[in-house]
Parts: sequence; structure tokens; C-alpha cells
Amino acid sequence: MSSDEAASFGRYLLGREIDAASCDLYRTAARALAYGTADRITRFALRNPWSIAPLDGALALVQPDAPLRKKLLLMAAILETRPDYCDDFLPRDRSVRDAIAVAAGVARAGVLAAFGMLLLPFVR
Amino acid sequence: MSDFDCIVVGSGASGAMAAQTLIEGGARVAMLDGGYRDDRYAPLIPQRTFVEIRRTDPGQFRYFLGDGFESAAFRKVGAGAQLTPPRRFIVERVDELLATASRSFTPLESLAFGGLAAGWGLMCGVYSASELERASLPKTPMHDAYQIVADRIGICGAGDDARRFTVGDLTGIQPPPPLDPTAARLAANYERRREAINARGYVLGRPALALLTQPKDGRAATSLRDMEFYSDDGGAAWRPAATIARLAPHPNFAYYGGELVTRFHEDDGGIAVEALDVRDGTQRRYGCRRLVLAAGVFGTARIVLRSSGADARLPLLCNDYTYVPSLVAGRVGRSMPERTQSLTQLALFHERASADVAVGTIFSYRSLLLFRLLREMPLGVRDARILMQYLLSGFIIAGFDHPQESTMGKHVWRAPDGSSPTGDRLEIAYDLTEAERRDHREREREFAGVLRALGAWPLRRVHPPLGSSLHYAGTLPFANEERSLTLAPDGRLRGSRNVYVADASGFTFLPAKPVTLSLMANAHRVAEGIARRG
Repeated sequence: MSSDEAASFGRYLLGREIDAASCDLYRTAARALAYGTADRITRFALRNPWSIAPLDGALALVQPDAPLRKKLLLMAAILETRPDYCDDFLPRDRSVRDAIAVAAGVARAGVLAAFGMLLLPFVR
Repeated sequence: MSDFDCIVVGSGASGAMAAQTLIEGGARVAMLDGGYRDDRYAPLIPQRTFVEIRRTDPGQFRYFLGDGFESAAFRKVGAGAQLTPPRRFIVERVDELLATASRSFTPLESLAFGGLAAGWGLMCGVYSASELERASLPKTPMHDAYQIVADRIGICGAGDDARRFTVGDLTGIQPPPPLDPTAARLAANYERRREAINARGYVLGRPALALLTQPKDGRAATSLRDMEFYSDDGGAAWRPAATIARLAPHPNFAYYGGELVTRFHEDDGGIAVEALDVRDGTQRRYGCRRLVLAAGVFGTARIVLRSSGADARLPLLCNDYTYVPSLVAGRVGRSMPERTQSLTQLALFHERASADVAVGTIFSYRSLLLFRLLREMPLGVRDARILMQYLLSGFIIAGFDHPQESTMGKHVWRAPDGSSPTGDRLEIAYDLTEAERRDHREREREFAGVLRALGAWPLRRVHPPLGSSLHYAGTLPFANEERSLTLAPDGRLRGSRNVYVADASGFTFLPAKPVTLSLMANAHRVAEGIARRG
């Protein structure tokens, strides 16, 4: 497991740096679930952090249980159970502007997934 | 050989009720039970609300994800998928000690203290007269037994449109807990469209729950911490453990945990019960005058088939179950109240005929955590998180159970298996007929239509494996004629003199209403008959 795998995944999921304790917990969890070895796609994503979003989006459509997705989902579960990040997961009152931002995010996710589909054969 | 008047096998909902009735009737009772408990997670869970825990407890990952992070692992939906780490003890060592094989059916069994009811969703439903008749349960004794069980466990419910399906004419029912805002919106829509929804054969109401909303018998009312998937709310939620804890100090009651009952042998001197000590594999023998099997439908079937030596196929009933994740659009992008509960908020009943009632249940989704939903989304994890956080306050899970009658192609039998500690396994063949399949899918389409009328938009229909409803019955059916591997109306196993079955094995029909209250009422009825006969 790359030493900054946890930090990269945390940064991708929340858009900011995550604390060292969450990274440690991720490493412990990945070992416990035998997620330690990185496949080609995960190695590529870690070397090129810009590719995590398109590859994750594409894999969600074609291989939801891919190792990269399993690791990202594990990191999401870890972050969800950390008090520092619970506001990124708990429901809260949102404005119309937030709704537009969420809709725009979904549209962007579609574009990224399409790009990921093009990228995937080269990475594999 | 008669060390005890009665041995009760199993500590689940049936076993607990049967034991209480027998003790109250003056019998000396021993309870033999697998007895697995959660000693690991329960002490870690603070007595705070779900939101408070999320904001403050740095150790929450242990009981939300498990010490081995097993809840965070990617896996498909199956029976028991809803078991959180503090509830996993319910299935501890089941794969190893209760060998089962099936290509079409995924049962959930338990060797836990409290059995499957240790994680029961607490929803209750009184069977109608015609449902009792089809299930071969006597109307008047069951009616009386429902009231006795309700008085023991404490039930909340409402006097609304659904009352005849939930608590019927039971008295002493406590008021329901407050609705959360998402469910309240659906209930308000129902009020507006009641006539049209009723015309489709559906009624909506508050479910009856074995949850205290007012103090009772030393138990506190629910504190609405929204932690029902993880803990028992200080005893407000009824579990068999609560009843057994009250029986424990009684001089006529003895509890033996760590025992897997394998078979019995009856002769003129009484009944010898053989058990396997699950801790060290040694064999033990207990003696009694009367044996009450309440080991759950599959557990009881194993014991009876081994003891009789019969090479027979037993019938099986199980409710086919579907769930429909849905979105209440008017509630997305909102906060949720801190004080609420995770149990069924609303129940829908579809009555086609008096004994043909399908049951829908509506839960608001929050305390099972967001990450479980992210893996189901066809989006990257980051974008799925952002979207689902926004939608969560309007996200509901609607479940739908179908009634089940005895039809072809649903059987269970015993087969040799050298790798199992008991030397055998249970084989299960369970296939819906084409007509059943068609009928269920058609009914589910109607259910989805009613959800839409209530303002909830179904996102998809998920059919978990057969067996996932966890409602099982019918392996040793009640029969009026003398026939082996059936039960006499008083619960006595035909061919035996003093062996009784107190779980749902005897039901000849499985209504879609939650079975637990009825199997408790039946257990009380069977035990009362034993106590009366002395």
C-alpha cells in the first residue's frame, strides 16, 4: 500500500486534506480487509490523482466492485465515522444554490465518467 | 431422568414466552440455548443520540463498522445484510454449527441469546380471524394470548385506519412515537388522498411496535436516540433477553447457555435431551417430563428429523420480500430531527381478501450510515456522497411482504454431512411457482403506484434472495388427523407423548404481517395448555 494512498483518497473524497488519525485508521482497515495490494488501475490513479474521479466514475458503471472502488468506499466509511468529518455526511438544511450545485456536480460526474470510460482501456 | 418438569429449547421470542407461561403455571423449567451474546460492542455505545455520537465519539467506528471493519467491506445484499456489528452476535457460529445447503434460499438462523428476536424490527400485527383459520391457529385462545403477550412486552400503536391490521382490539396499547418529518409528509399526503388510495385496496397507518413510549414494569420509555440498529434503548425495545432476565432469579427457572440441542429420546421414564456444548464439543444429556421446542423453524426441524430418524421432506413457508428505495422529493435538502427512531415509521396494508393481506413498511434512512448507499450508486464515490447527503432527508426504504400459503416446490430435509459437527445439514429447496411470481410482481407494481400517490418516488425494486424476510413457518404443520411430522392442535408433536413445538413450525399459512407477535401468542397458548394439564 502506498504511504499516501489514504491521504490521496481522503483528499479526493472531501476536497481537502484529512487528518493523520483517519489515514492510520484507513491503513488498519485496508489490512484487515486484505485490500493491501494495489491493482493496475489503483496504481495509475495514485500516480495521477487527477484520474481518480474519472476512473471511479467509469468503474461505478462497469465494475462497481473494482479494487479502486472498494478502497474508496472503505475510505468513505472511515471518514463517515470520524467526528471531524460527520458534517460531510449528515443531512442538513440546504439552499436553492446548494441544490443547483448538487445538480451541476451530478452533470460533471457524468462527463467525468465518460472520460473515465475512454481512459479505462489504456490504464487496464 | 426427569430433572425438570419442562425443558424449553431456544431463548427466542417463542422460547421466552413459553418459559414465562410455564413458570407462572408452577413448572420447574430449564432453558437450553446457544446463548451467544454481544459482550464486545454494547459497552462501547454511549447513551447519546445518533447525531451526538457522530459528532463526539472518536471510537464510533468500532460499533458502526466493526472491529474487523467488516461492515465497510463491499458485499451483495443478502439475508442479514441489515445486521450491524453490535447485532452480528445473532449469527455467531451459525455457518459452522447449523450447516445448510440451498441453491435458491438464504435462511438466517441464530444461536444467540434471544435468537433472531435479538435483532427483531419490533413490528407487531394481530392476525385476523380468517388468517388464524388458514394458519390452523384457534381463534379464541389466540385472541386471549395476543392480549397476554401484549401486556407482557408493551406495544405502542395508533387507533388509525390500519388499526385492524396492527393491534386489532388489543387494550393497553401505548401511543406511537412521533413521526419523523419525512414520514409525516407521507401521512399528510395520505390524509389528502385517502379515498383514492383506499379505493386501490390500501390503507396507511402507524405500525404497532414492541417499543415503550411510556414507562412500564420498571422499563423506561424510548429516549428516541435513533440507535435501534445498534442498541436496545435501555430496555424500551422489547427483546427476549428482557423476559429471560426477569425469569432468571425465579427458583423454578434454570438457564443453560452454550448448548446446541441435537436430538431427544422419549420413553416411559421421560424425555432425554442430547445437547452439544458449543464451547468444547462435548455431549451432554438433560432429562425432563415435557419438552418444548422453540428453536426456530429450522432449528426445530433439525431436532425433530434427527430424533425421528425420518427421511422426510418437510414443507416450508416464507414471506417473499421486496424493498423499494424511494425518494420523497419535498423533503430533500433538509435537516433531520435529532430525536427520532429508526424503526418502521408507517405501514401500508393491501387487502385483496380477508386472509390475503400484503404488508408494506416505510423506514426513513439515516442511522445505517451513508456509505452503505454509496456502493449502490452508479456514480463515483465522491459525487455519490455529495448527492446522497443532499437526498438523504427525503430517502426512505419501503419494504413489501407477501403472504405465503403452502404450495409445491418448497421443502426442507436432512442430509448427511461429515464436515458438520452434527454430522448432517439441512437442505432447502424453495422456488416460487410461476403464478406466485407473476402475482407478487403485479402486486409490487401496485405498491409502487401507491408510494407515488403518497409522494414517494420509487427508485428501483430490489428482490433480495428468498429467505431474506426472516419469516419462516410451516415445517411441522398443525393437522387434525394422526400423521407423523405434524402437530396436534395443542402443539404436541404427533407420535410423541410429551414433546411440544412452540414456534411457528405449525403454522399452515404465513400471513404477511410480522410473525413475531403471533408466534409469541402461540407459544403462550401451547405452554398454557401444558401447564394446565400439569
